[in-house]
Amino acid sequence: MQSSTRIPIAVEPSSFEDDFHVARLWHEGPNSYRLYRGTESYISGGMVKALHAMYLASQSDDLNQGWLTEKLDFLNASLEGDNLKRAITALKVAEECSSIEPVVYPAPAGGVVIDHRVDQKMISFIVEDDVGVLVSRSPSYSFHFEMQITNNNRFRKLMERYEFELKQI
Amino acid sequence: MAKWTPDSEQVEEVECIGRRLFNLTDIQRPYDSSGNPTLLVTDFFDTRLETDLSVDRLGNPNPSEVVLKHLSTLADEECSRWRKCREFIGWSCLLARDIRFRGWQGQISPQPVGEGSSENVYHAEISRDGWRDKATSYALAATLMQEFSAKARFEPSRT
Repeated sequence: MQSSTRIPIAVEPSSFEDDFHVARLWHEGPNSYRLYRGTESYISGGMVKALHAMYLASQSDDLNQGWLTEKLDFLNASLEGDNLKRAITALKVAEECSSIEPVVYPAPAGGVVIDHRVDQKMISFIVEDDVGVLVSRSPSYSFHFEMQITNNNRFRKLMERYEFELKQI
Repeated sequence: MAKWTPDSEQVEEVECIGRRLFNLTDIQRPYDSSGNPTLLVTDFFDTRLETDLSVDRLGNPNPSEVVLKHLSTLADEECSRWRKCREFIGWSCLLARDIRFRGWQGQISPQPVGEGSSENVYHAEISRDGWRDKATSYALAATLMQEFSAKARFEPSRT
């Protein structure tokens, strides 16, 4: 039995599946890959070429440099569908806007919490089911912002506010 | 060492209030370089939205060693009854008057609980009135986490 190599790799939804944004990939041999996204699934057939190309790309580009893929391990394994997409989207925004690695952990009822701490500035972002919460604190101000995520536009607005706060760090 | 007896009618502003910290099986808590635990939003969240948030009254103004030992035993017992609990590690504590933020009325009430050997006369509750739905209760938890992170100190378990 071949040993598997764990490859931190970002997979965009348009690459080969529509129902997730980012996954972890194990390279188990020339024609064998395994995909992890909370639950595990095996990929075979026509996907292999595309995955192999991504594997080769991952060896040379900077995908291995960020913290995003590592943090996927901290997502609740039961996350799926929109909840998983929103959690991953929030993590991607966090990675794009801040080089400081946040603390990521599951929210009690299955969502995700992302905490940023830089000196005296703190930002907490929580997304769970149809609820999004952003709480920010610095020596000069503090605020909290809650939203019922009834559609993607509202979630996008929440992300914009999150991004704005992250850029204040 | 004399045992501290808290006022049964009110929590005084200069009392030391501690929120119990538990390490859970499904969350890896980071520690800083001094060995102090990083506070998490989940430390200040209770899924029973109808209830208030439990805290312990640890002393006035400094934590009483007798109280800390007694409550450490009770906290260990609480942990043993909780499927996801791995370990009680101690309290994040500050003066009652230091819990202040916009939108919260600042009510901390004495609420003795239990009986016999598990009696806790030091138990109090932080009001969640106005913060009881899922979104606002998360906002309160995150706000308290940030307040405690900025102002509180860690008091380790005595067991």
